[in-house]
Amino acid sequence: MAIIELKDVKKTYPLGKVQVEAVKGVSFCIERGDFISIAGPSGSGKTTILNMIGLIDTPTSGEVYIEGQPISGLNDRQLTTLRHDTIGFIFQSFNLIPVLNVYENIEFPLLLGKSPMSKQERDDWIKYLISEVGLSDWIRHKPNELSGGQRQRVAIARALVTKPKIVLADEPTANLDSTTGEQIIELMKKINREMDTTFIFSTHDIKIVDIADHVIRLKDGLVTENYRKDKTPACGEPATAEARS
Amino acid sequence: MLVILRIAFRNIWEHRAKSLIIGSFIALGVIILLIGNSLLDSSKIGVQKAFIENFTGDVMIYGPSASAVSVFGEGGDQTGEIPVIPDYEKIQTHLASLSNIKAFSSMSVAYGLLTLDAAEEIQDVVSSEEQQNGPPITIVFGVEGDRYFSMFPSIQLEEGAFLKPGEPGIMVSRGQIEKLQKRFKKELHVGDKVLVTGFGTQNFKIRELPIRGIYKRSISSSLPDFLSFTDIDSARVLGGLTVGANEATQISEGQKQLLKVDNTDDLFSEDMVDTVQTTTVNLDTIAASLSNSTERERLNQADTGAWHFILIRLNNPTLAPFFIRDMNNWFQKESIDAHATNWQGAAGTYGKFSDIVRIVFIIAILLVSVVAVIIMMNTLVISVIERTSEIGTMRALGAQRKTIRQLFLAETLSLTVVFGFIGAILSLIIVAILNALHISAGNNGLLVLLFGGDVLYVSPGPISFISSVLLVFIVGYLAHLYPVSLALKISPVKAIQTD
Repeated sequence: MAIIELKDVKKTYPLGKVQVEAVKGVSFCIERGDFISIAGPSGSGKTTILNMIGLIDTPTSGEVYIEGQPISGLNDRQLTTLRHDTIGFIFQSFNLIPVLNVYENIEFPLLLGKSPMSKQERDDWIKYLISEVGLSDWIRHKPNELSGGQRQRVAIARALVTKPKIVLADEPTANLDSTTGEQIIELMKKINREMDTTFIFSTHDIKIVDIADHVIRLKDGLVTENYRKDKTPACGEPATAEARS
Repeated sequence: MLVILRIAFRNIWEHRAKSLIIGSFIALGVIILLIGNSLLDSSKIGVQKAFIENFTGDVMIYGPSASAVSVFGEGGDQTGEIPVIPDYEKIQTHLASLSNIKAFSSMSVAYGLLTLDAAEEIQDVVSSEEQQNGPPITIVFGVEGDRYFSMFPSIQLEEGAFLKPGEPGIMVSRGQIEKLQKRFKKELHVGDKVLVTGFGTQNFKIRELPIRGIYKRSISSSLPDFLSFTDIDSARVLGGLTVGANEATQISEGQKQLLKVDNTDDLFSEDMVDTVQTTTVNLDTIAASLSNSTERERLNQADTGAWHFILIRLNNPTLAPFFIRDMNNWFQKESIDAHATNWQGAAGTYGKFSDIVRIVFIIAILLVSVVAVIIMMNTLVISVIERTSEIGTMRALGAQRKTIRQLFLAETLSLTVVFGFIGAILSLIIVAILNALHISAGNNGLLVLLFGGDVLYVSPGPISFISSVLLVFIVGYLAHLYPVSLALKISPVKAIQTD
């Protein structure tokens, strides 16, 4: 079963007196454990789609399903709980809490909900994630004492701390140099393999798109391409592998 | 919750400038409230002590009157007359039977003018400046001698002796004596005589009284020094409480018609001459009428049953409200048109002073609080705007709205606690300095009332402390409501949109 499914999703924003249609009826689905790139130029609707998958925005029409559950009709409290339990976020601008250090930033999402972990388990898990992202020597440092790459590593660890099924990353490499960007994507890919977490990231960088298993290309609010690298048919799509070989 | 407090404290520290602005208002608020309330409390306690121990006792009983009458004669009915206590003997017997009374004494009050025997020389000896200041007016307390003075031990003799029952005479304050000496340029001693001109609502009465004693007060020497004590009968005559006072005002219908004449020239018209020609009045009847002094003597004879007030000291003054309630119930049950009141009612305007000042203070504090709320609110709104991305991130990571509300509440209340504590410490230091300075009220009566005595002494009580801190908490809480409502409207999308 698809972990995420979008059916004829449209999103319209008011811009002054004009209604701007950012997403014009998009349908696709994503399998569990995939490493997916949503690619497209600026204004193609990448971020809007990520926001709707991340439950921080709602479609104007159509439906988004998370693990088969439609999100329309959920109230703010239910959406927040679902977001906390199911989804991890990696932001373009890192968005770490400036007054908390590396450890505390990663720990923060765990403190927002009920965690089945004991205090010791929690501590071990956070330290494991810190070591996984290579920041063991920076554990007590505040965000303003870290480089951009280090901050994004903290953000990756924070996104994973609640063991979410889905991690959304909106242009995670946009504020990083190319080498660091590649390292971050490699790290995400490694975690994707190790933890079987579904990673969905938006980008317009061709090199990064190529690392993804499943690519969804957007243009002007519509899906122009939806294919898997292994040439198997994408969820809900006929096989078009010959075009991408 | 721990993480919320951690973030709150670190945010306060990170945004030190803003925290300092808000904190300064909180600390200043606590200082103003604590010192202001403490000063008012001390003032009220001081004024209460001074009036209870000098003038009013714990409870005062007064006669029939729609409004409260003070021991200085303020209030009363529209005629301006101070009502006399009805059924005095019955009330006195009842008071004597009560075990919770330490002492009680009756008195009457009159207004008078103090002059010397050689009144005709006044114009020669009084300087023009003193004439402008007006004559030496006194409020005369007609008292029961020893019984009154033993009830108010704060009245101390400087010269002479206390008034004795049945012995005519006057006791004046040191300040009053000095004013008289200055005015009439004459040394005055115990035994010298002064003229007291009592002015009531209907007539004037003059009594020549020997000075029996010169007194001072051990408590608040700056309290009104225009009070004189006389024997009760002299005070009654000066105040118009004489036998037949009411009968003397009875006039015939013909006389009333005469008084109704609008044009006084009509009294001397030609018609009047015609009337004289027909009257039977002759010089013998006029002489006979004038030689009969019975009516005049009656009007100068004190009404020995007339008392204006009964002052009561209780064994336990804190029970005064219950005693007053019981007394008023008893008056009602016995159909006696008398009333009991506390020291504040008995002190009249003086008693209301601290309450009036407190009301003015509260209004001022409310205005300052509104300004403080607005400034704190604006500062917090700026903080919310600056932290839009942070709040959006928290919401995106799974923070419920209540978590954001708790975060801002924790920040505001942490600021309130920390700076409230600093304000309280500063208040205590300022109070200690003020008390150490021994600031004197001098001869300023307003300051004496405000200070509750001759010297400023501020004593912060627990109620002042708690109420001040509570009000600052309320101000802090109100100030955070609007910024929080803004913060709660921040969508998680803002975390992505805002850098």
